[in-house]
Amino acid sequence: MVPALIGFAALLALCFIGFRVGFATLVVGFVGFALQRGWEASFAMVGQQVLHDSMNYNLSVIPLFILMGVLIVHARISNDLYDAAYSALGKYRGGLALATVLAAGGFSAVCGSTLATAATMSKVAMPPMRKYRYSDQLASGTIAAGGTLGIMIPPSVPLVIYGLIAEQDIGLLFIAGILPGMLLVTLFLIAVGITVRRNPLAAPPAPPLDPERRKAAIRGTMPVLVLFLVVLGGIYTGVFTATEAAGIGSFGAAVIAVFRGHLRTFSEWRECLVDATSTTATIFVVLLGAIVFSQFINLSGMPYDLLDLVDAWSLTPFQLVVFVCIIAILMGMVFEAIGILVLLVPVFLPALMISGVDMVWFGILVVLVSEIGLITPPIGMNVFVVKSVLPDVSLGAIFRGVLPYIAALVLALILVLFIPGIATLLPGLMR
Amino acid sequence: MFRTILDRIIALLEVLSSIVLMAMMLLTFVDVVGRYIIGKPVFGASEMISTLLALLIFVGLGIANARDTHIVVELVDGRFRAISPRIYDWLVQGFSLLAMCLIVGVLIEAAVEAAHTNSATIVLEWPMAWITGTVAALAALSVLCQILGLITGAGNRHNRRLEEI
Repeated sequence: MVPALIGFAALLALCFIGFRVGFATLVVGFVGFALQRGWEASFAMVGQQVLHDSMNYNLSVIPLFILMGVLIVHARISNDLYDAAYSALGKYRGGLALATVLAAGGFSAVCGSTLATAATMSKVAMPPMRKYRYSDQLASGTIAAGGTLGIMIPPSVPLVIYGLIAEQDIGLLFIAGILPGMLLVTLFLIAVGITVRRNPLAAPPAPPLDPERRKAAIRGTMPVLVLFLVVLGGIYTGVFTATEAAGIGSFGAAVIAVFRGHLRTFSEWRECLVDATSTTATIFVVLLGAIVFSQFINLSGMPYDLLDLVDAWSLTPFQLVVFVCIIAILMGMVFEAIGILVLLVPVFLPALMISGVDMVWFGILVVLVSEIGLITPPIGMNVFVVKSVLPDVSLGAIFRGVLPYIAALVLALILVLFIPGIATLLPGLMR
Repeated sequence: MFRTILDRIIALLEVLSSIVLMAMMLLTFVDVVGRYIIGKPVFGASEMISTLLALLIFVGLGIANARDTHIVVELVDGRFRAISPRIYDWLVQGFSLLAMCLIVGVLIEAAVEAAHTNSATIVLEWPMAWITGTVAALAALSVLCQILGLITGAGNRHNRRLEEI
């Protein structure tokens, strides 16, 4: 276990100094493996992993879902989603904040990016909330928290990466994310309700949407709803694999964008395609690095030493999962979803699997923990994104604004922990 | 001059990446539609998509390396950089360069080995040496982009964070 611990320490040091995460993981994995098995063996291992994973058909789901998200952002459907959500919830106190949560959930369902959701919602939802004198704390906190839904509601890139590391069916993971995603939306809506009840001045009443705008919004939202149902419905019924669903989804998103008057020039297409390619490449650097690093960790015997430790401490599977979640929460203070997944999951994978933990359930738990990390200090990236789009709102106000949603996320974590069926019910019906 | 060369390489890579990703999307779509509507999926589609994925990753790496859009944990890195920004940048980029050279090295070796063994893909029987060789060449090009980006400063402050995904 000592070589692995030294490897982890070296990796953390390199990451904190500012070395690129993917390259740091790759080099530490390569050197660590070489010190145990020789440079030639390590070189061969890296070659095999890089080539094998770069040509892994199952991984093509990543660029295709990223492209779908980029195209959806480009189609500028967020205004319609927001209007449609407001027409459903506008009659309640805090209607604009409630609409923000619902629209963020809807946007996540076809976008899959937490940052894109937070940034887009900042632009769409903040102006009306300002117009009707919502408190900055409530408005910005709701937007930052709404953005976190992007990594739970499928399609979700972190779930894809978890599936690859833990060798779980990506389609099952997506389906498993639906109920926890809906639970989160519901808890966020309740959090808005409680906040507004405690402080009515935070959300003065706003007028209802005029009927014309309401009709236009519902019309504009329909294709997105259809796309979501086709993608997830296809996976659920077994008609598509996750990769095929991603291909259909990205094609559908392109059609929606074209019909909405976008993507009419080559430069617009190029912008989207290059954006998706560049993001894909950066993710793959991390992924390839993580796979090489996990080879080193496996060789060091650390996962099996942990297994012995679990035996020695007589941990039940549930206690083990709680223990890993606590580590993930601590890591979430510094690392975000992908970082937690690539560093934590390979280490505990054998112990979790031998203990008989449902790995789909565990995947949802890890993603939930990652969501908490997105809005908690010191690095709450969604908070920083909202701050960058709304520079006049103080960081303190946004962090105070997300407190009710952190409570909602913790409650969701506890619920999924104690009632695994929330995550495993739908996949169980598919199996 | 370095800037012009880099801009031209990036422009070429952008066009290439657009073509490859578009082809991936259309191929996946046509394969599914072909299978369910006309009962005739594209022969060897999954192998084509796998090959396109490898090309896409290493074309994208050229763009990502030149602009240094790689993922960084930005917590205390600013303090280290403040000590000596120039040395810090060269150190960090030098490390990335080292890692990329490792990737290029293993890919070249894989291409040479594939050429010796005459290995091919299972369904379409495409020669692996060509595929691996092209991927290795793209990886080498991405190293060149990285060096040019470092010289011209094109890669300054474009890093992504872990959750920007």
